[in-house]
Amino acid sequence: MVFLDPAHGGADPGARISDQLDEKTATLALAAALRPALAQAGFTVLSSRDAELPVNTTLPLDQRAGLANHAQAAACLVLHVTAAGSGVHLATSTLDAAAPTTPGLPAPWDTAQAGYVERSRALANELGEALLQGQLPVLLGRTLVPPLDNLTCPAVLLEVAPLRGADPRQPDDATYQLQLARAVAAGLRRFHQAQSGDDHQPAKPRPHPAAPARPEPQGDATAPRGATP
Amino acid sequence: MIPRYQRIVFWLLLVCITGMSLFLVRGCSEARKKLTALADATPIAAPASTTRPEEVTLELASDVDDSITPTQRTLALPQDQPLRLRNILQALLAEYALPTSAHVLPAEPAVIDVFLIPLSAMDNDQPQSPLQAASAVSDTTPLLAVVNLRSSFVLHHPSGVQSEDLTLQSIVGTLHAASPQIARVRFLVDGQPHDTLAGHISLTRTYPAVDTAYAPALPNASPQDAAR
Ligand SMILES: [Zn+2]
Repeated sequence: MVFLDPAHGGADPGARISDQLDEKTATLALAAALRPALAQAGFTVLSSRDAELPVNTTLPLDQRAGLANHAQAAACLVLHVTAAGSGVHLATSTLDAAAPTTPGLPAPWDTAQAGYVERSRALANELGEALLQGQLPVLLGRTLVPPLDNLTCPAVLLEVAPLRGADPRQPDDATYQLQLARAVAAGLRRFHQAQSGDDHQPAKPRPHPAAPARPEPQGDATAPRGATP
Repeated sequence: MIPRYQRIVFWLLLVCITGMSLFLVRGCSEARKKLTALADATPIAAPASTTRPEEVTLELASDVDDSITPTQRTLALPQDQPLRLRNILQALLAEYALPTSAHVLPAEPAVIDVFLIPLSAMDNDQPQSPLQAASAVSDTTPLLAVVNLRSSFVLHHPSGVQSEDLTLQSIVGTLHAASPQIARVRFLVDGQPHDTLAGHISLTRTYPAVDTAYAPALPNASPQDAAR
């Protein structure tokens, strides 16, 4: 199963993509474009929202993370759209990789992603490769944007910017979205196959990576704790 | 014939009148001098210049490749640490206002001020007076830097994960390079706590001050190569 989180919605419009388009609508359209491609690749798709939220309401980030964690998805994609930059930006958590918590025991909410960081980076890598093969420019990075750190699944933030250059296209362009959806589906399939292969191997101790290049946010005192993975 | 005593009184009165007149004239001129000195707007002495040229590291962000690159600049900086840090951040953000910048931000003053608070004072359960907190600071006390941003800068900052991420990393990394004593960084906007920079990056969290230099990896490179 793949969990999609089209960011923003309701009272939170997100970025202004164009005069007629808010990010909250663009992320929803992106999720709608991904859904059939993922279904065709054999994935069940669950989304944090399938429609615009009621006026003056928002879907809080903790609630989005809660939905994703409850779904126990094989991959979680947080979808953003921007008018700045170019191409597709894939970002994973800045957290240091840590051993996954014992099943049944709660993971600390602020660092819940730590046990999944290596798989998240492998997922970002597969998605990046598939996007490059689909002739789409891609950047791999790290981000502090929530709710990535709270997710207990291989999680990647996917930010779609306009295509510049010879064939410029806006993020809401149907051809661009189709190209993107096919590449994401291919990347997810490859990641899933690699993970299934890994599962049959005896567990090997994973080396700890170097200190994160980006600072990790300190625990937010107001963030709930004790979410069950 | 005028009696002698009347002549003596006359001369005595004349001497007194002359003395009082002289005293009044002198008093008036002194008062005028004092008033003129007060109304003079020119400073008594020009403030001595305390800035000196210093080589600093700006962690410059690029939207083109999502990188943060340490870049050396020589700036004339005051010795007062909070003022010095504010000027360094102003110089950093001024780079982003240049037309050649790879991370374009609004061309306006961004930083009102930077405060430095000893972390020991923050962690201590017992409330400390500012005087106590100041006296507890030594050259090795880890500090919390509070960056007070202008609301106009935040309002005009481009909204997007990558753009906001890079601005924040760039500020945090530059502060870390400017003073290793800074251990954490917090943000305020016009002196008040503020939710996000432009809809994505949280400004309510405290960020560890670390080296944020970053060169992104191409897909298929080892994910560990992405760090630094
Ligand atoms: Zn967004």
